[in-house]
Amino acid sequence: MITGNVMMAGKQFVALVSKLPTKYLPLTAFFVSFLLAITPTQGEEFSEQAFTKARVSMVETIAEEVRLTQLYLNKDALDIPVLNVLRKVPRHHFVPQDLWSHAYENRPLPIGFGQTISQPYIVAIMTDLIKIKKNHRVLEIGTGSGYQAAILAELAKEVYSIEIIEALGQQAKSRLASLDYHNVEVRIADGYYGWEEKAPFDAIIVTAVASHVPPALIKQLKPNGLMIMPLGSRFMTQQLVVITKSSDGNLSTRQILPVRFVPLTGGH
Amino acid sequence: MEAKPPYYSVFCISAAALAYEILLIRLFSIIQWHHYAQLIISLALLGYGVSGTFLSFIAAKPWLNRSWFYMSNLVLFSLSAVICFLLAQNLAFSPEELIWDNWQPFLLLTLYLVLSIPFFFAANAIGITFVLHGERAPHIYAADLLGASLGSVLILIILWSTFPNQALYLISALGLCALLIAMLELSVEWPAKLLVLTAISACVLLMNYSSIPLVMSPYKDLTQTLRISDAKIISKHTSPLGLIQVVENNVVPFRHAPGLSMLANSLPPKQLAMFIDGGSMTAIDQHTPKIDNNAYLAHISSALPYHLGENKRALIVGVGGGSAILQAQHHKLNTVDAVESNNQIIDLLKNEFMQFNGNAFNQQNIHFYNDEIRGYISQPHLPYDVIQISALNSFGASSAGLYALSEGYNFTIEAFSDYLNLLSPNGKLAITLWNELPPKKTLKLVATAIAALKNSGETPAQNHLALIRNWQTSTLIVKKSPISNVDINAIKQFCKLGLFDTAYYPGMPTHETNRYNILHQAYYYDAVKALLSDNSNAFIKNYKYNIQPATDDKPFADHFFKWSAFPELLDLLGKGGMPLIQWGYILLLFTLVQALILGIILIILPLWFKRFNSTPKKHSTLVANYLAYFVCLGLAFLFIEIVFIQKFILFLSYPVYSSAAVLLAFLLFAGLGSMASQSLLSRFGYNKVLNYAVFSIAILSLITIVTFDFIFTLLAAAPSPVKFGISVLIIAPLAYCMGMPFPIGLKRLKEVLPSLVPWIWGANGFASVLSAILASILAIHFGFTSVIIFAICIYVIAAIIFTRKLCTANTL
Repeated sequence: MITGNVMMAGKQFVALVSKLPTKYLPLTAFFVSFLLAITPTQGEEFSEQAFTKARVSMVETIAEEVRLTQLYLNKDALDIPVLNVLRKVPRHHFVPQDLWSHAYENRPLPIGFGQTISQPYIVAIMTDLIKIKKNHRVLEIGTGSGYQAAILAELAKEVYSIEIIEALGQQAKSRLASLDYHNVEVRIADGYYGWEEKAPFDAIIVTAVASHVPPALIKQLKPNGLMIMPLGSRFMTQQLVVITKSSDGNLSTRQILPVRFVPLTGGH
Repeated sequence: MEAKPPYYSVFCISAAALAYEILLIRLFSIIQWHHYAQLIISLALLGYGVSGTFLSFIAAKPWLNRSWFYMSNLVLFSLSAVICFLLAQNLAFSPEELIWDNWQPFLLLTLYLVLSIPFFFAANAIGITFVLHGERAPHIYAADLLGASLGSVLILIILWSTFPNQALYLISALGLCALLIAMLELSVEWPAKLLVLTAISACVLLMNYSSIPLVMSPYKDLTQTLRISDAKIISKHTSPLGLIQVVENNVVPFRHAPGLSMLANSLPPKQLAMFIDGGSMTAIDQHTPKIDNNAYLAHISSALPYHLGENKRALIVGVGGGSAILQAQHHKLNTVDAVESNNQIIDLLKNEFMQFNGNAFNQQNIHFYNDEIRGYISQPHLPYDVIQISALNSFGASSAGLYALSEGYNFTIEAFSDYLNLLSPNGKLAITLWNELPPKKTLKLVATAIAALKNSGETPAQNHLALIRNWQTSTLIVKKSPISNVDINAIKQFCKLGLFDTAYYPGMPTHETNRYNILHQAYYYDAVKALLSDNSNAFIKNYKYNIQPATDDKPFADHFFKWSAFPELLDLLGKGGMPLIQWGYILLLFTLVQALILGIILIILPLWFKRFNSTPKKHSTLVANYLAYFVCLGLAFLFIEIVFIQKFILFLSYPVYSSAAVLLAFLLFAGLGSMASQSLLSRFGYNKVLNYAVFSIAILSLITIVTFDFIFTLLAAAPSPVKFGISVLIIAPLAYCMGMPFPIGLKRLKEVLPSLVPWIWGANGFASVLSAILASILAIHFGFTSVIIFAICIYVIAAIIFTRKLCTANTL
């Protein structure tokens, strides 16, 4: 872990220095040489086997935490298919290579462009909450790294994902293709209008920041469909909002605190 | 160096260093977040302490008194002021990642160490002067303080006319001015002359060569917005109040409507986004002829007050993009008064974007007032039927607890009492804020409203409150007269049509809560009922967040942290519990510890070794006493200064004016006091002058804190320049006395243990850094008045140490 951090630090500094105009190089030389001195010369070896092992342990952590959070989730374990998928999808392929050593830690990671890949625990809960079935068609607003889309693709029939930042969308598109997720379609567009041609959807995940629920998305949600929105900041999901559209089209929301916490002492 | 100290050069470099400090806060508020900015910059002042260490190691070197050594520190200040900022802004420090990324604490450390470099050089220049001319410490200290007081005003003038990134060059130039003056004041040898010319040409080249681009954190709202294709900044304005940037996007238009009902049948029109310091986004709506552009504003939870009774006059607090004004217009009010602290925002809406918004803000019934709300409501006005306040800060930041330390007087019990006084009998105060899970701020504001209602005699409070919410926002209504059955029906109707939940209204049955936006429990309803009950104190005590109402003495409406809940929250860290902790507060403590450790290592330990190797054993107690004396002064001076800056915000409305007036007064009059102490000492002797000074400090600061409110109320209506002048006059005598203990001690030290001077200079600087952080923590827990009392006690301790230990017969 410590070695990983030092390596990260070294890389961050190199990235920083490369951004600076050359005239500042002498001044930064001291910092860089100091860091080079303490950075291990050989990188850690990553093997698929090690990653598989890390994934299994990540899922164990998630399962344990979910068990402790049952108060709000109304269940003490996630659906088996969701856990299986988390065990299968190679999360490290969705994070920058210099963060591979952290890929299976239960934490969000920066993926560039001011975006993050969510904490696995939150991804697991969100996926479980929208109750994906094999025949479902799912819409995602905010592709990001593509990890959530990959998880959905393992569970649903078709996944449509919209990303607004072009570079991020292109990266996710090729990443998903190279990992053989052929049932995911990524489009670079404004998610506010949803994906009219592919509507209606059984479930919608909105990971992009929204100041209100876009009406088009409500329209494109099937009766009995579920929409989920994580609220909070890039690195901390404060709560999950699940919107339900009943069979007669009525809407309701459920706000879920994804943690076992009662705000009043004495179990009010 | 010459026999005479370079007073004017010291004056100039002190001005530059203080101006630089304030400028850095401005710059880091833009590229990071305001409260981190203050923390980081106060830590950067560790440079002063490190300089003390450095000087004490080289104090015996023969070249120390050469002019070139003094002057090269001025050059290095000028260069590093620009370069260190460039380095610092490129460090990928991200406050929110502190808990995730083990590397972030080191980045934070590197960040403020890099920023401390310019202060290190400035402090070297001043410190050398003290070392070489300690017998004239009072005059040098005076030059230092007077220079700093000029710097505090100068930077304000600069920031009105220059973008902050360009202002960096001006600070650098001010450093070079100090250099030029030094060249005139000191007898300069040829290498130094060469150095001066090279340095100046290098700096001028640098200034011509590049403008300084600001590297904003990738997680700030503006950075995120600009990543979307076609987003472009179409207008920007700057002032000490903030950097305003307006963004347009024709491909992916903005649709900012927080709190909009899911059933709304109308949507926002095309919008421009306005950012203050890269955050706090609000929207400017486009006007399209023949369409009711503002219809969507009727479907937002904040529209509720317009549905209760007949409304003619509305007061909008904080204009932003102007949507609250348009909302009032949509509901056909006769008069809409809008209070906005930033005049550039008013100008933007009324003039610059007049065509875009269809001249919407130049209507006859809309009146803008350029003021802070507490200043506005402290004066008499015709009563209002609606006072509308939006507390919708940047959502991400507020949910992460980044505002934990933000102080503000808009949500204190005293403010609520003033709002209530301004309401007509039918009048309503409406506050809209983000929902949080579990609720914190909403409950704190409900508790504040209840306390204010009780103070105003509008009881029982339960008849005056209503609270509604949807999945995203809550709107709290505080009505001057009891909420009637007609009102209740209107609330229910409004909620039903908009899919809002009623969380509280007088006599509300339990089954009416938690219907559309379902929470695990009816948190809001249960909490409001509990807060209204006789057991409200027990409820507040047992709640795991601090929801005690804020007061003018403890104006921390965003502080919710409770130590009692901390172990449980810590246990939930990996389990989705991160946002439950207020990281801003934890970071404050963390930096205090970091600064303490650093201070001990950098300042105390090395010198301790050095001192005890060369100082006779019998002096060790004396050394410890000097250390205690100067640490006390460092702590106490800033305690008082920081509290005064905060308290005068209430009087001068604006934090920037308050800090300018208070800094100006404190530094200027402390400088004069320091100057006077020189002659007072020769007439009355050490003990007498010091004891009188400390006695006066105690009396004057007590009188001022006791009479604050009275003076503020009495002069509330005076014009701003008069208030500014009065503030300076109120502080003057106190500051005059506070300027004395430091040079008195230093002069004494120079006589007894001259080699300790630089070390003491460093230790005092180190204590000042701790003081700034400690003052915030103490104010949060005990209130501003208590911090002043602490400061007085510390001054008294310092006086006792001085008279009993440092200036007794056997040490003379």
